[in-house]
Amino acid sequence: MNDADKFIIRKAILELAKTGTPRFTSIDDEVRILYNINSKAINLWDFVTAIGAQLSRPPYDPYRETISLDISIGRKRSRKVILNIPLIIYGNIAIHYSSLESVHVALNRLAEKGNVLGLISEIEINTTKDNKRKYPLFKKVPFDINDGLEDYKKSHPEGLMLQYKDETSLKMLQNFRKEFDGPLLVDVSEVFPLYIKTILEEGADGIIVDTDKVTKNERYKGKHAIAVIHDAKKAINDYYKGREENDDDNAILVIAGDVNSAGKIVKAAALGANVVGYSTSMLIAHSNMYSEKPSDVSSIADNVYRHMVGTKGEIKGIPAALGYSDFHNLSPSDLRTSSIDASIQGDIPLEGIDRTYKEMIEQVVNEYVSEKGIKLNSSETQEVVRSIVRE
Amino acid sequence: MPYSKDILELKRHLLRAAESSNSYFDLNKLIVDVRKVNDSEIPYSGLGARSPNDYFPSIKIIGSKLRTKEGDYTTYNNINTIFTLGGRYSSNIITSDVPFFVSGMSYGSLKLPAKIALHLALNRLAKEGIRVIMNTGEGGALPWELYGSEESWSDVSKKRHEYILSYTDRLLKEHHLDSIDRDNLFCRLYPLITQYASGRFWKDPSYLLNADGIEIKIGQGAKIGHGGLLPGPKVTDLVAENRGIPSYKAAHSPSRHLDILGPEDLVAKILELREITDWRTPIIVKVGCSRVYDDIEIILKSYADAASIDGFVGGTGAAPWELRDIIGINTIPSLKPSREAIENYYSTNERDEFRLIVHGSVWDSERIAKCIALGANGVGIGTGFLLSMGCTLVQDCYTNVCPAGLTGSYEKLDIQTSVNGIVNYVKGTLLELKNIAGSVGRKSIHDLRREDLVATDELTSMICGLPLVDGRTFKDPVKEIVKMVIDKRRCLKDHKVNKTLEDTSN
Amino acid sequence: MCGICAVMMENRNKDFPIGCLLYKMMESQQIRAQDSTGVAIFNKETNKEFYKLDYFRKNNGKYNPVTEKVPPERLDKTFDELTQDPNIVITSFAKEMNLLKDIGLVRDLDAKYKIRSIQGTHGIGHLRIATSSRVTPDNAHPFSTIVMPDIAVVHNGEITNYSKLRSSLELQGYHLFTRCDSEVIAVFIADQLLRHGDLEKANYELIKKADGPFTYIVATSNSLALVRDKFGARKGIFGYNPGNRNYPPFWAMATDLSALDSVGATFYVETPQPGKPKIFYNEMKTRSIPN
Repeated sequence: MNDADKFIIRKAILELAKTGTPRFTSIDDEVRILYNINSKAINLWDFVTAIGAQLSRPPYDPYRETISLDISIGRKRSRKVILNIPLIIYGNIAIHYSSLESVHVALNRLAEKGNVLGLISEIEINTTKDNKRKYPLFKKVPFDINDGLEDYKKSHPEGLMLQYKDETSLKMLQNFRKEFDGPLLVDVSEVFPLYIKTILEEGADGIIVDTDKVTKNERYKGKHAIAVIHDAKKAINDYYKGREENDDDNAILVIAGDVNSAGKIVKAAALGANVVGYSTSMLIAHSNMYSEKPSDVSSIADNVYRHMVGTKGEIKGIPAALGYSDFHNLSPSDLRTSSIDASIQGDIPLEGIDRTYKEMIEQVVNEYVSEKGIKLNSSETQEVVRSIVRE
Repeated sequence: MPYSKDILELKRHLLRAAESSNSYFDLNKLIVDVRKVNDSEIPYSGLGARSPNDYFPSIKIIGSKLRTKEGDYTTYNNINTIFTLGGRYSSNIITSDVPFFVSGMSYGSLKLPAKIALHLALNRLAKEGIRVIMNTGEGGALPWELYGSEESWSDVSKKRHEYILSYTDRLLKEHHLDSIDRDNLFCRLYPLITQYASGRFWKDPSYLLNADGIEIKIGQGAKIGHGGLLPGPKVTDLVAENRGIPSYKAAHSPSRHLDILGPEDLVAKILELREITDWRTPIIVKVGCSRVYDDIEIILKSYADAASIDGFVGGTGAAPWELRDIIGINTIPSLKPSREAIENYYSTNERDEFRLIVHGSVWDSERIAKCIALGANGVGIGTGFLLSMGCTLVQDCYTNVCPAGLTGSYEKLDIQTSVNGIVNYVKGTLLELKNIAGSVGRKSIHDLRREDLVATDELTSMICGLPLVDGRTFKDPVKEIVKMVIDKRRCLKDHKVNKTLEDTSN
Repeated sequence: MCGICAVMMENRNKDFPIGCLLYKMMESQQIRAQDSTGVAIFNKETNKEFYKLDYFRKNNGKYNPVTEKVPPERLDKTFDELTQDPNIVITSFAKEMNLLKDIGLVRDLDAKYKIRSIQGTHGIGHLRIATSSRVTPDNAHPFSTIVMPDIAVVHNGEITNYSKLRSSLELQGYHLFTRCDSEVIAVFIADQLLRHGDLEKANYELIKKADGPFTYIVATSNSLALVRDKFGARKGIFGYNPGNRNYPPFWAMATDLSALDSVGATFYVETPQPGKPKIFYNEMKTRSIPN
């Protein structure tokens, strides 16, 4: 329940319970006044829900049917990396070595139990024979290192992460692609939405988009992560449209940023994310710095481990409740929204009427032109719809 | 939730780390992460989900008043508020004097005193001529609910009779309620609907045979696609005995009926229940609001007497936090597709006594009236009744700790006060409903129509098909903009043409 | 969607009116599903020179069935024209197949098209109770596709990741006419057959890619495949009738045992393993998948 409304609701019902006589104002009257005074500052994510399985489609039961979360990263020509949970630990948070170490220990423990996740990091943990890395590391190569090739050759990461700054980054991408046969992910947050086609054509195995960074850019100012994920997926789909040889050539979309709870992971996946760059694990490790009595690496690793086990349970249960036995079968048609803005930004159908806002406007435009006897072809209609939606 | 010191400390550290990070973290939801760190379990929560927009405040009933002039609670004494259920395929009909009833809240999820308070309150209301339907919830029925009349004992063996009375004694003793008069208790004057859920938590055939109605629960709004849930600490010995399960182990119901995987299975199940009850008992099918049109279409074809839809903000005793918050759609948007499915069906079939029932954050009379105007025949209320018993909305229903003594800490609940609260809540709501219908000029609450409503914003107008406050539909302002845009384009085109002509003539 | 059935003559008999067997099986399952019905019957004796195109032309909510005989050289042009028209739904693209479907009961279909007297080597039938798309003639099963002729699919269940599969097929340039998830099965299998021609492999691919509870039967001009999803959530069984002097032996498939019972196909009754297609070929010996 909305915390702000609780007081109103409780007061109203208690009044009825006490007197048994009619009140002066209804709950809705009071809620209306409340929201006129305080405009709701709510994240657009909260206006988006997924539609579950009931009768027309039966739900799966995670205790009876196997729900798969596995994803393979790597296009046709690359060596593949398989994750058992579609998360790559990602930190836009200042990383202390000890926090990273705790995460490393936790990831090893998870991998031993068949729960392999990925990690993106510039620094590599010093591993000994006893704590060798059992999970894939996507080593982050900063964009101002042109000769990083030698460095990475020494360390054998399972994958690489390059940051794309501008056209100069293209040369670096080409060099690395020639030398490295594993999955190469390119962070396009600085330049989004440009260069994606070029990057994929050069053989990148996936793109990473940090929604926090992108929504601070000029191009996406005022927009929400939903628009970013939608546009990123569209860019990848456009690259594949009409292209021959698409079999087993699946470039992935990694979405990082404010997608850090199970609910948002599912919504981002439905919008098109294949893997989520997950920052909460790093936050948990890092929060140790704020403790009056900081714990040791092993205890923090336990925290991260337990948290991930709980998160896995959450993201396994939700696709089953939507009727899917595979997390990666979620699609935009599973989402609904109670906000016009979210419907425009993510092409998400509105609740109840099951059509997007754009489709509703298009219907009105078609009605208007047929009433007035005006002739518009389909691209002109789309142009009119676009200008209305922008208003 | 009385969180332990460790958990609160962890939350504090996490909060500080989140506040100083570059990424965006929802600070209200960090507690979910803290709980996962603590025990690696999926965190549960109680009551309903957060919905930033549940549409009710954006709808107004034109000219309605909750209250008539001072000192006179209603001048509209003859407004019809009766609700009937059944008769489409069942030979019996349930009659309720109000168009709302108690949604399913199980014994186990609610502690015994709360269930007794509801039972006694509904009996008192029935004695005063206000019959309100009660739903047992999925955890089985209590002995006095099934054996609330002389006839109900007629087929019961002596041994069974003794067991039922002994179980009752144990129940009441455990909750320090032994002094309750048994004759008063074993009396049910209100209609009872028993819930046929996927867990099948009952052992006594009278659960189906002595009920006035059976509700097949496919799902509920709070946990669509997920089975019912009672956490281990709440499965006390007595709860376990009633349900036929081991005590202190979490009771997870399957996420679907194992014998209902599609529409034809539902038909088979309903026909089976009809055979068992001799085609007497009305059967309702309850679903959570998701693919409402398709689900209602299936229910219409399945020999049920009524369909019940539960918006995703509907409450629950325990549901996984994230799952509760993100799956399903609101109550109001589900009404239009439900009505459409029903009207489409009756465009090719003879109209009959099918009913549409709606649940999900419908707390007071004005919300009930809006649902009825938008097409519902009846409304289920859950949290509203809890509030009338003193619920403080802390949403810790999945634990044994409850400040009001409803879902935990049962010693805190005073039964008499709760009974008074429930009775007043029902009476007050009934009076308000009469006032609303009367002030709008209707003779019956069921005569409220879509035409009596307006929407205060574009989205609600679009989703409910209602006009805006100034009488226009959402299409009118859009059409004005369309005209502007098209005229602008035409001007630009003409300007371009003229410019080209100018250039060519130069 | 909930009653499927199929029949295949063991010895390639082409004169037996298998429409009658399908009718019996469908009638015995009619109580389950009454929204719409359809059959597809294969017979090599039909005209080999032309392609037969069946489609519905929508007009003010009415669906008018049209049949066109198209010579091979005009095929592409005809497809171009028909797919451009939003009021046209192509329901059958065939040389050897006769696909008939409509809303209503199986006896209504028989009254209209005399399906009980249709002869053939094998055929499939379907009774529908709608779960997610509207009850209209074009949403009835079987579904065929313009990708390849003589493919028909009947389906019981839900393909829950239908929109994902559909977008990936549309990305490859395929045209889908309805919003019914069953159509995707036909297009997907046809696409697979174009790539490698192996029906078994095509079905394994679909089992891997499709999500949700489903059982379907896909028929081509010389085979029938009964396929259950990897959890075996929906029923599907097959049985054998050894025949007698009145009629030849045949294999039958159905959702319900009562359907097999109604045509005496109660020998060797078995259900395919979940996730493993059971294929019958139209040859002297039926070939089944080695376990």
